[in-house]
Amino acid sequence: MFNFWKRSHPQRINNDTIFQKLEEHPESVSQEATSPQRLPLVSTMVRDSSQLLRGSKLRFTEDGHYNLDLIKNLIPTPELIAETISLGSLAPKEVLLIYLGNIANPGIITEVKQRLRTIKARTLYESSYIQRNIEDSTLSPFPQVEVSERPDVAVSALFQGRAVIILDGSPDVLLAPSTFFDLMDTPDDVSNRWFFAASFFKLARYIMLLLAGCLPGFYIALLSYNPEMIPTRLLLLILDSREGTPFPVYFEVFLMLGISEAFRMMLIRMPSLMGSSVALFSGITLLIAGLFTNTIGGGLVIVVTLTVMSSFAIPDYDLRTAIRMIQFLTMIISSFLGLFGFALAFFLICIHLSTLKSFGIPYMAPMATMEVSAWGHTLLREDSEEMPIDDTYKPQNPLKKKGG
Amino acid sequence: MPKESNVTEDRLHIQALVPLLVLSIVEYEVFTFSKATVTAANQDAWLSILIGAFIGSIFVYLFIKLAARFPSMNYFQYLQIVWGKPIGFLISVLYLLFWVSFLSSIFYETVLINKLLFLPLTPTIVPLTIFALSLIWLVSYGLIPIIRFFQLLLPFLVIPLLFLGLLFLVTIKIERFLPVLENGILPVLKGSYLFLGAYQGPEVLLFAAPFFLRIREGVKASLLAYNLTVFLGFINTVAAIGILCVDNIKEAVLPGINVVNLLELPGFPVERFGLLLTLPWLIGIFTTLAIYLHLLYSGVFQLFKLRPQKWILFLVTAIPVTIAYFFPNENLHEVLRLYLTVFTVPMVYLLPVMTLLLAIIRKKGRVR
Repeated sequence: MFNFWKRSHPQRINNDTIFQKLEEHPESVSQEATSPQRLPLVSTMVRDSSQLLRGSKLRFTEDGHYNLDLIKNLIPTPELIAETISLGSLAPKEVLLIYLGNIANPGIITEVKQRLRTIKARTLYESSYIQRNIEDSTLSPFPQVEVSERPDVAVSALFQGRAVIILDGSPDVLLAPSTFFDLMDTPDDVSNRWFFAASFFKLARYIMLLLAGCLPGFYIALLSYNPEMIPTRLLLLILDSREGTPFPVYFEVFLMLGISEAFRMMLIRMPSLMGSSVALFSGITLLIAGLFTNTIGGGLVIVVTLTVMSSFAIPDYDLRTAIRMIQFLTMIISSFLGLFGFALAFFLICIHLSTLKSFGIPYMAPMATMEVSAWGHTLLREDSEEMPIDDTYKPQNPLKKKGG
Repeated sequence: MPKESNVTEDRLHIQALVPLLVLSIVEYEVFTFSKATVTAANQDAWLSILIGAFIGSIFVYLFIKLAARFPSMNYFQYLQIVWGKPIGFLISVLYLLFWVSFLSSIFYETVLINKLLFLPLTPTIVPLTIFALSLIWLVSYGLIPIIRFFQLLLPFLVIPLLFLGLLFLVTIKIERFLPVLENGILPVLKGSYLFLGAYQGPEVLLFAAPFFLRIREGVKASLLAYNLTVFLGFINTVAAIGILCVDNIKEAVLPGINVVNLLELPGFPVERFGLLLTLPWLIGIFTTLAIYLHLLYSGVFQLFKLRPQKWILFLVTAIPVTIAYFFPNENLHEVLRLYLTVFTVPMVYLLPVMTLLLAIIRKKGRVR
């Protein structure tokens, strides 16, 4: 046991796995800590993992207690419960579990605690260590815990009835459980003035997600196996652009998408001052060279560019990565089995999504639980005067007895 | 990570009946039954569908009433209560045989369509095996994930078909439906019977009922689902008559594809919308196979009091797949399909209604 509120004099943290509640140490919540004078500079600096047009510019920092104070400032209610646990056998780190006592599903909170307790590590460098240990399926490409660096997103999650997990030393907090539609949300959806525009852009994101995952595979399937299904004028245009290209369609697509992935990696690793210029220059040079030497077709350039662009419409980084991998899966199956394989890949992904859960909550809720009443504020953004109440994470109807 | 979850999971809202029924009913027949109905009723096939839909809706309503009498049991469980153990057991076995034939027929059609449209050069066994393994993967999770899977796929089935329906509107020629009732009412009624036979799937709700919390409130959802599929079939048939005309439908192998390929969108330089049918087609077939495979699998272990095990699922899948693979020829399949269509009405519609009547007479089940 330890008194984790003495921030200025950190004590040695024991590796016990007992959660302590915030209410047990009310005097420890320092007013000083949340005063503007104490704000670390980094909290007001925008890290550009995602940009926003409107809304709070605050970010979490590496200081777990400061992050907790940020949330406390945003939700000044006694219902806000924070519990702590120290994890790590060699160099224990402090993990904070935050939730709203009157909103969160007790079953989910118990489950989160139970999973946190089972983590076995010498120390925790980063919140991703926790993420991969508490997810329902680590084999799944889809993230079942949301990662955010934004306090407003964390606060919104708390009001949904989810739990926030903060690791001291990590600026990325974890929000659990998470459904697919949580990962497709952006704070702009809420801050957008007109609900219709917000819904329109949300729908556009779903379409772009489908394009990012399916377009290259679909292109391979159609051109390699069923060109007769393409409208004649379109087919002639594509064939004209491919005239003289030495490689089969599937190889061209793999090559181009491989190159685009290389560019993406280059952009991430290079210093930001010159990275984008170098990437732009290399990209245009390669593209022009490829088109002029007839190594690639014009139709393919459109497909690949559209795919890469669409993938950036996915707000969550982990989900974006998952879709990129799925893109290659659909391409491989389509290369072997054409349109039939493309449909099969689509079915396999849907089977996986419909069986996946995050802390007992169906991953595709509320769409694949047919909670039509919740669609308005999850799949779209409905026109509501009050903040809609989210039922996704509420205690659910027990049907376990009836078998499955 | 812990295997047991503290969160009580799995809930099925009554609205989930919509994807369950739509995707259970829709399979190849929805796109091809126009041929059989038109052969029977000529240009009055649309009337056959409307009459058939009315009768079918009454049956669906009665199914809900039957399910509501036994809300925590599936059809096989209360068959033995209502009919008595030996007769109930025999009827259940009859259903199992019916499903084996039905599944074999759909697997065979999958092979045919695959050879015709998608993979003409690939050995049949390859796509058939991959398809079957994917189905096994889904079915092994149980009914609730199957229904969730249906919920995910519903928009991908319905939206392209409704879009096609809009395209049909601008191409249909009204004079091809005239004269009305040229051959009297009997061919129309025959067409209605064939329509009901083609719309196999509503009986699924009798087996899924225990997974819904308030099945007695499912009348609206189930009628909506049934009539949505009727609507899809209706626009398909009306388009086939109005675009292809009766004589060409009788000649065509796949009238659905032929109609779609004749469509034109004014002012838009794109033609041959057949591509729009392929995904809904494959979705329809995959989901129908999944639900009937589940019924067959769960029926086998329930009836013969076996423990649900993976090898039973593999065995149960292997039977229709093997029959489909070794099916001698298309003509024999046509005969099988005709018998199935004829038997569907008594098996799918009449037997459950008789069960309901008997349950009322014998005062079995919950009465509200």
